[in-house]
Amino acid sequence: MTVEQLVRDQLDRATQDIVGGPDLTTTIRDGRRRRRASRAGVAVAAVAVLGLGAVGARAALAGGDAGVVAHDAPVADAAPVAPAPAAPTDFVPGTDVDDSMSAVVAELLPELPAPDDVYPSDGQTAGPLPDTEFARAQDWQAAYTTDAGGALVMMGSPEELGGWRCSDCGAQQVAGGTLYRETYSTDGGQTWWFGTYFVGDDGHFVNAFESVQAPDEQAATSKRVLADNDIEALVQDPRLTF
Amino acid sequence: MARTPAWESAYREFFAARQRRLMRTAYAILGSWPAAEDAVQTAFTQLYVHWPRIQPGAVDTYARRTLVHTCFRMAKQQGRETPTGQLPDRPLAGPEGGLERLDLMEALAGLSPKARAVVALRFLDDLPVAEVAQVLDLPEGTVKSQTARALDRLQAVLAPPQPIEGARHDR
Repeated sequence: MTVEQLVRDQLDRATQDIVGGPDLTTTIRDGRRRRRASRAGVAVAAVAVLGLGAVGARAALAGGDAGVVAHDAPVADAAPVAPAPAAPTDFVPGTDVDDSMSAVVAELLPELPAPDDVYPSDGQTAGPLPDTEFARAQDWQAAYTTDAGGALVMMGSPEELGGWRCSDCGAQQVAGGTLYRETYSTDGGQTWWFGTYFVGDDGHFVNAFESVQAPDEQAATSKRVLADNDIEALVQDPRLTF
Repeated sequence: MARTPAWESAYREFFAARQRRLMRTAYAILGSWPAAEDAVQTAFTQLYVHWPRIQPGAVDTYARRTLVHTCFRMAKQQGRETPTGQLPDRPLAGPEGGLERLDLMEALAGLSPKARAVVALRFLDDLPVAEVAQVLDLPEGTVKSQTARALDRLQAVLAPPQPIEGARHDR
């Protein structure tokens, strides 16, 4: 018997009696959560980039040296001082989905500022789809900066492959669909997410996340700028479809 | 009723079909069943996150890559360079089998995590050199040399081979 055969046989025997194993339910639950956080994170990153633009604009307006501006300055600190560089009124040329979506959000969540970005997305691509490919969007997302963190509104078509359900969320049957609520943290408990999800009977969905930077859930809850009732009304609004 | 992603059934099937195999690989690298369970759980979660973007033909390689690199990270974090400080979780049936397992795990523990991964992928998963190189992000020549070195060290530690009747294993 060669050493290769010896190792092969002994490895085979030594690993036959498997003790324990991964749990499918836990894996899928964590995977879904991370997929949502990952996709939301793209929007949050976009918010951060635009926020830095606002810092730069403040420095320019004040005649200051942009080189001395702290680029890690909180976005919330920068936003009220000077407006961001002229935001495009039409985020995605060639469609009015972005305009109508941001208009509904502005109407129902007046606490939010103008969106930092509105963009098409899908369940397979990491990050937004190119604007020119909006026709194949399976969901649309609008990202906002708040004093406490940010907000993200997603509306998805019934055809989205990444459609989901939230088996461990609090669920409530409402007219036309099901409402879910979920609170969770990412970044090692530094960012808290308050998710409100509506899944229509036809399969379309609207998700709204409010993110808050805080060390624990209680502190995060106290820093929220959006009211649950308003968010629930938003996600159930029949105009949020495309 | 809310929807489930269309691809999730394929993921579930993959999970069911591969979890045992990945557990064995992780155990061979980490030397502990609880650690192997953690590594496989982490790898499957990672796999779920990226599943829609993985080419169907590349899922096995992706899963192995994720698992092996998870094992490396765990080995580094836990300082598990010498897992022989622990007895195996459960002995094989029979005294000879138990001794054999001790020898093997002790021998493997003397190798680096990367060398253990090479051994596991080559001789437990039966992967060709090219595929092992792909999983580990190593040149094929490095895989060959690491395999040879690992076998030399294992041969020196393992008990001399003895003819064992009925020791064949269908794979």
